[in-house]
Parts: sequence; C-alpha cells; structure tokens
Amino acid sequence: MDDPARDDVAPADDSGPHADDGTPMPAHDAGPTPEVRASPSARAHTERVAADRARDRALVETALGGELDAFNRLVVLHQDYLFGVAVRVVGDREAAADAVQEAFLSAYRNLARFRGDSFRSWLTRIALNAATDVLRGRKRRPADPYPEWEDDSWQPPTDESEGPEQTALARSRSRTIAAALAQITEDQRAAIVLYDVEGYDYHEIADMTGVSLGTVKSRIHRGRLALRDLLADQMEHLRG
Amino acid sequence: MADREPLPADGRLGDVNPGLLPPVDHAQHDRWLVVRAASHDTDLTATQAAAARALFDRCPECAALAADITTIAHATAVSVTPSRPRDFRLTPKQTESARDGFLDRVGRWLASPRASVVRPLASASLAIGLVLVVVAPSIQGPVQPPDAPPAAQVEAPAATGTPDQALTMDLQAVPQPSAGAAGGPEVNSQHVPDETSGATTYMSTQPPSVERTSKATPDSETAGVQSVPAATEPPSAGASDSAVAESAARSTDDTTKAIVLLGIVLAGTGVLVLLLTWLARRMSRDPFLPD
Repeated sequence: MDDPARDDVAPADDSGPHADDGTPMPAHDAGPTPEVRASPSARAHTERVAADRARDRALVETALGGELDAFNRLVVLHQDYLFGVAVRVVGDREAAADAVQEAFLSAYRNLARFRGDSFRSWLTRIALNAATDVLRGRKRRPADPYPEWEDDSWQPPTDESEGPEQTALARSRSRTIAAALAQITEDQRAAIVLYDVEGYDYHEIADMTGVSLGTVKSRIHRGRLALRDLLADQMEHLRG
Repeated sequence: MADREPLPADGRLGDVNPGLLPPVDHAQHDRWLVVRAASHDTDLTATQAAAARALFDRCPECAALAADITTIAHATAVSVTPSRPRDFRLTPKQTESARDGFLDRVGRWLASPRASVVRPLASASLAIGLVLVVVAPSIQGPVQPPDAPPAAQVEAPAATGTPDQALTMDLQAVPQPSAGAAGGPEVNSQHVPDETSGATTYMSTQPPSVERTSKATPDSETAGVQSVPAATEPPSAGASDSAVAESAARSTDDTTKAIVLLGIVLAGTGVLVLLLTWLARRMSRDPFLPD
C-alpha cells in the first residue's frame, strides 16, 4: 500500500486496472463485455463488478466523513487504470501524470457531488476532461509522443512463458500502436482507448464523453480506419 | 478472409442474391461498411450484413481490410501500459490546499446535488410571494351590514344639502390617504362649486365640529340657518356606523399591507436564494467535472 511509484507495468494479457495491493480487478467495472457476457463466467463477473462498486461507494462515504485514508484507498485502487487511460490519450507520461493528479484532486474536492453508480466511470470522465485540458494547453499534438520510448517504463510485463524475444516484440508492437494512436484525433483516440483497451461498451462511452451513441460508434470506426491507413505497411509486424 | 469459400469453378454465384453482389472494382466498395462489419457493429441491418459478407467473400482487399481492423483492435487492447511515474495518493498538504473557506463551502454545498431541494423551495417562495403581492390589494374587508350606508354617503347629503345627490361619491372607492395617516376624525366631502369655472370640485378634511356649513349652493348663505343646525347636530347613529366602517376599512388596509409585505419578503427571499444558487453553481464549477 505504501509503495512508491511502481516500475512494473500491467500485464499484457490484462491491460485493465490493477490495485496496488494485489486485489484482482476487472478490466473495467462498467459491466461485462460482449465476450464476457457470452461466457459461462458472466454471472461471476457481474457479481464482482457489483462488489467493486459497492466497495467504492463505501469508501466514498467514508472519505466524505473526512477520512483521507479512505480516499487514498480509492486512489490506490484506480490510479494505474486512470494513468493508463490518460497516458494513451495525452501521449506523454509526465503530462498524463499531471492530468491524473489533477483528476484525483478534482474528485476529492467534488466528492460530495458524486451521485453515479460507478465511481470508476465518474473518475474516468474527470480524467478525460483533465487530459483534454492538458492537450488544449499544448495547443498542438505532441510532436514526439512517448519520448521515453527506450526507458524501462515501456517494458512489457514479465511473462515466464515468454522469452526475451517475445517480450521485445510486444514492446515494439505497443510502441507502434501508441505512435499511430497519437496521430489520430483526440476524440477518436479516447473512444478507442475506452472501447478497445478498457472494455467499456458504447453506451458507457457515450455517457462518459457526453456524445451520442452514434457518434461514439462513428469515432471508433473512423479511428480504426485511420489507424489501419497509418499502419498499413506494418500489419505483418502487428500480427506477429 | 483466409478461410472464405472459393468462387465456384463455373463462375456461378449459387444462391447469393445477385442484388448484393459488389462491384468488381475495390475502389467502389464501401470501406465504411467493411469496417463496421469487422467491428461487429450490431446496428447493421440484415441487408448490410449480407452485403458486407459478400464483400469479404468476393473482394480480397475488403477481406484484408477487415482482417487488419481486427488485428489493430486486438493489438490496441493488449498494448503495454507504461508505468506511472509517481504515486497519486493525496497528502494532507494537498488536501489542505484543496480545502475551501467557509463561503466556498457554502457555495459548493449550494451547487451540490445535496442542496437540490433549495431551488424548488426558492422558486415556490418566489411564486407565492408574487401571488400575495398581486392578490392582496384586491382583498376586501369585513362585509358591512346591509343597512349601514357607506360613511361618505352618510355625510354627503348633510354637507351638501343640494339636490344633485346623484353626484354623491362613494368614497370607499376613492383612496383617502389623509384619513388614516393624519388621524383626523373624519373626512368630509364638501361639494364646492368653482365660482370661476363653474365646475364642481371636492374639498376635503374639515373636522365636523369646526364647520359643517354647506358651501354647495350660492343661496346657502341665506339659507344657512337651515343647514347649520343640521351640521352641528350631535353625532347620530349613522355617524357611529360610519366610525365602525372606518375602523373596519383601516383594519383591512393594515391587513392588506401586511400581506403585501409578506409577499415582498417571500419573493425577495426566493429571488435571492435562486441568485445565490446560480452564482454558486457558476463559481464552483470544476473544469474537469462532468456536467
């Protein structure tokens, strides 16, 4: 719980959020994806989502009573997930970290205004707004997104079943995808990150971003088409 | 698609609806439809889905596009998340700086959903106040006995002593600001002909004991013998009724004023609270907070 900033990263096979205390968390707490819904474990997943939401609401209530530790527990539970969203939208680790910090401060200030069912969704909306604010502050798309390509922060998770070659390949693919994501529009990027990476469904993304369902679908489809045009000559590399 | 069925050797399309056959040239194919189908868009109609399948089956480029979309979606989903550079837990110092002053807290409370009941209450207060202000002046006082004539109508004939009683005014219908305010005993309406213009005017407020002499007609100078005694007679039963009526009217007036004042207070409070709520919502709006 009292760990400093981690140097590890989320596992590649589960890019969703992870609690620092090792609590297993779903890819998102907003409901099962179509694949999950179709699986036999759909009921267990739904129950886990409901339990996570109940836990968050209880922590919010405690935090509203003035317990900073309760709020920090929420931070611990959601910070990796939130940073993952922000860094993909902003494209710069430090700027994304600033956006996430602002988002948590904003959430703390306005905790009494939280009335939704999912604290994570509410937090995501705040973080997206903060990330958008960062991008507006720059007035430009990052010329060199992810400048720390070569540092350890992009090390893929260690999987004992994979050798160094697979690890390097996963890292290279992630860089390729991240570079392409940085070149599409901010709206398309946010929609794709929320849908493909975080597993929210169309309705939830529409609710988070404040646009219609059709607009969300359009952004995702157009974003994918734009990514395909950008990555046309690297598809074999991505397929591996 | 790698596993799509090859075209029949004879080139016939079997049971495929000819209307769904795509053009031969890939440039004329609907890429958007391919992307939607590859993304499993559930909004596709049966016709669109069939058209997309036809594109996948008949056009290698469309099939490749669909495969690429699937690959990109998967690669995005499993891409590595960079580690966060720091811990985002809040320190007491950060929360201290985030803490607001009293007024800020009041404003934030007003803007929060917890105070959502305030606005309807303020609106109701405003509405009730406005209704009171509008309705109060039309509220009448206690009903007078049918045999008690209005005060002015009692006085007027004695004062004028003229035959033109048709001009007698019901002073209840005429505002008499000096009556209650000055605290004078009564208001006498004296029917005075304007010597110069010949027009009839009304003069007011002379205590009955001072002078009740009629100046209504030119010949009243000579006929004053008749009119003075009538004016100096002790208060009759009619005068007593008049005093009661005056008192009732004054009471009604006070009630009306009180109701109007209450209405003004309610409406003013409502407006003030609505204004404060609006200001609080504007000032406490967090740029990052969703609407």
